[in-house]
Amino acid sequence: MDERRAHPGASWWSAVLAVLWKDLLLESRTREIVTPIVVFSLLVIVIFSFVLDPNPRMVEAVAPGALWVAFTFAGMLGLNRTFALEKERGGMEGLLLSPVGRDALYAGKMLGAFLFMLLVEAIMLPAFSVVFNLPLLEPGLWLTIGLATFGFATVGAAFSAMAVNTRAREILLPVLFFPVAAPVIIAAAEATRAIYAGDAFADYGNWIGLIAAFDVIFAVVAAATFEFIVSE
Amino acid sequence: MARHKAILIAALLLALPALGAEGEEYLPFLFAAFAVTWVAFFAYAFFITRKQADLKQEIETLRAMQGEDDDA
Amino acid sequence: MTVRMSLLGLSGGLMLAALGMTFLYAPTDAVLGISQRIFYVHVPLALVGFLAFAVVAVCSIGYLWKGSERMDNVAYAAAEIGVLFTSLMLITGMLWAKPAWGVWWSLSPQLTTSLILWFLYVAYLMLRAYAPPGETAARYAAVLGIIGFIDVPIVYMAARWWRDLHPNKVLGPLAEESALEPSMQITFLVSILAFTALFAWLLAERTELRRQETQLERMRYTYGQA
Repeated sequence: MDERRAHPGASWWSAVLAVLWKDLLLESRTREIVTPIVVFSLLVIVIFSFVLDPNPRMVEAVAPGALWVAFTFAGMLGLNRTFALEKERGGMEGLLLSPVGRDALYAGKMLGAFLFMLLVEAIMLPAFSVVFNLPLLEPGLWLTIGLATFGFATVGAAFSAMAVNTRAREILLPVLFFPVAAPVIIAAAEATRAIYAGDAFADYGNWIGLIAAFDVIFAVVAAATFEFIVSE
Repeated sequence: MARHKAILIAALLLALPALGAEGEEYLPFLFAAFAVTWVAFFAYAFFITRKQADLKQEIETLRAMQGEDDDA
Repeated sequence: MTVRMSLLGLSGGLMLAALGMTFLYAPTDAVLGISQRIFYVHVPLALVGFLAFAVVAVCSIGYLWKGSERMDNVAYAAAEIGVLFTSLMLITGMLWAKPAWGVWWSLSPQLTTSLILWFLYVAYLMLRAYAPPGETAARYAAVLGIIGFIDVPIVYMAARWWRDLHPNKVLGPLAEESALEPSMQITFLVSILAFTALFAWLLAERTELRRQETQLERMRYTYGQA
């Protein structure tokens, strides 16, 4: 492990990609994460369309909040599954025995969770835009979603690795996750509101900056502390 | 904002006479704030110290039992 | 034992002094009226609550670094007392806001941040309760103690910008606060000292209780094995 620490770079990234590839391959065969969450998320959007008044002023007021409620709940389900297979089938021991540094293991699992959430959101966003008649081709919105989802994945993967070993894990993960992710949720909803209102980037750029800062800080902190979460 | 200003002015008017006649309707809130804080502190301190005594007893009992087992 | 006894005496004496000064020495605030005296508990509760969470973060780092169980005990005790202080801070704040603002609650940056902080450390205590006991729970909690504390300034910044975008209908008079009178400053200072001393005493007692709890757990385990 020390040897790997001394030579980060190519071997570190190949370890990260190996962990990530394992998760993607597993998901492509089992379809236990993305498919059920997509169906659930579409149901959430349909329920929003039932309970929310569809008049344009109402949509303008509540759509950004509704979108991020849907995203965070979908993300929560995905994060709950991040380490579930490892736990159920004893894969964690295998991962810990493999010659992969803990930070590389974290990065691989985190990127996997990020990609799964992004995939789900890529299906949810067009559905949401159709149901509520909102613009879809907004690069600013895509940037917000990408950065905020990355932020969710940074702390979410770390908390998921803890919660999977606790009693009441399905409920404990959101209890841990929401207070820490609160600034990202606030910032993403506010940026989305500005984008839907047609504001320029300068008007919501500070929110993007806040999310980006969160991403960088917690990617580093979670990677640095991950060895204390998984050292069994 | 208008309401807030009105409250401010009302508070100002009420505060003009010295302590006593002023702000009578606020007294229950003031009393409640101090009462809640102090009751919570005493309850917490009581809970900690009593549990400490309980656990001390239990540790000694267990220690005695282990001692007996070792002798046997 | 003597350290804890003297801390108790110190906090008791300072508390009596703070209480006396709050009601007899400090003048009634010209603008905020009699309920401003709530601030002499509310503000120290907020500051010391925050201090408690800082202690959690420092001891969490210390625990992960050195692995000393004592650090973990202090972190646990500080988190529990921090939640107590923060709860009381929220309650006293609401009791002040109702007569002053006309509402119990508003989403000002301080309130939003305090509420999220409260949830964070309630989650910390829940994690400790539900994680596998012993060393695992301590490690998990230490990681959360560090992540949570780093999150606080980010939460505050988000809450601040958020409020700026949505001006509150009930802006607090605190927003246009001017310099305090010297007698009020002294009362604040004594109150803050008193609450800090009380925190130190409670922390020492709760840490001792935590030590007993872990010791007992271990004894029960070894006794069960025998």
